Amino acid sequence: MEIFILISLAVLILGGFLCLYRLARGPTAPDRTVAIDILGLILVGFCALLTVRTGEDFYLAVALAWALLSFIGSLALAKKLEGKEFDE
Amino acid sequence: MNEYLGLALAGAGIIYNLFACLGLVRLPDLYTRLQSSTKAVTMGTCLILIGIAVYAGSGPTIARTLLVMVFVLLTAPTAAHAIARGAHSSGIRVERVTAEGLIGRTIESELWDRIRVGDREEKDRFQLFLGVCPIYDLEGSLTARGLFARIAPELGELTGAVPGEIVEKLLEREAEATTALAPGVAIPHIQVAGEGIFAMMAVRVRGGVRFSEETPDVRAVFVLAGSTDQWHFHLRSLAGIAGIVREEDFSEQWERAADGDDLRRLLLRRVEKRPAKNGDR
Repeated sequence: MEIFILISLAVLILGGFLCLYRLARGPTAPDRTVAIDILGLILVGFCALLTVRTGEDFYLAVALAWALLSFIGSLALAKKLEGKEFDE
Repeated sequence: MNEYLGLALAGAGIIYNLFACLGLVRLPDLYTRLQSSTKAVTMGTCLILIGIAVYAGSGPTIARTLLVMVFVLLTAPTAAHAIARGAHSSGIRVERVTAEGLIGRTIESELWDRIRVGDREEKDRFQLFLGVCPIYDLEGSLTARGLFARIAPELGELTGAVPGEIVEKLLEREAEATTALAPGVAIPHIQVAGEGIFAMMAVRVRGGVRFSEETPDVRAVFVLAGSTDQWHFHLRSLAGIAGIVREEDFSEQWERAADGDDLRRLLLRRVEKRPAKNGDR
């Protein structure tokens, strides 16, 4: 049980590093934006799993906040990619 | 029991997430990366959250996980769509590598199909000509000129050319290089004026035709006459006849045939027998 959770967390961290690799390599701005977006969702799953590991419920609130901020960030970056300003 | 089910669901979600990240690293361009990663990660994260809801089994946790899940389901596709739209309008193009491989193969196979169909049509046409062409069965022996004089009226009727000209053309062609093929077969062929004209004749000469010093004893003669635009079919017919007479027992059966109808049956039987050899690849 414990070992299963640990392995799961390790796999998610590996996935996060793959996203970071794409974030560093690019080669274009939209590629990096996708990497950040995916990294945010991976971390939502990571936080959710931490609830099981620690028994603390508030990690789910962290996940919710992270998903919200990640969404807003992605939208802002996508708008920037389109060549518009944030208030347009 | 619920614990194991929950952990199994979470494990499945984690595998989804891992493959999504692999796709993000491995795929060639932005759009393929987007399509592989966003969908799989949405699915994976939702599976993890459902797994945790099942695992916990208590009211408040289930409510929170479902809240996060609904939120992820709403936002992740929206964000992916916005990114794809932004990338497209900022001028990011689709990588051609994968598409080219697919298209190349399709066009090539399509061309092969076309060639095969064309081949089959011409073969059918050749078979049709064999079915209707005049077949003469002549006694005694002849010279080349004598033979041409005998067939020229019929050939002239089929092609609309003057018989005398046909004889001259056939003799000219014969003088350039003999059309007699060993053993005992000749295929004199000429071009005639006009468009869309093609005629074929088969002649059996029991006593043999003296085409040249080397080939004194020609018993099977196939005459082809066609206009210039039928050149391709002309060559196909030459190849078709060559294929018929190439077979070992041809001259033997040719001599044994009772009459003209028997000769035609012999020719048609051989064309039908050959399909796998030449035309179809």
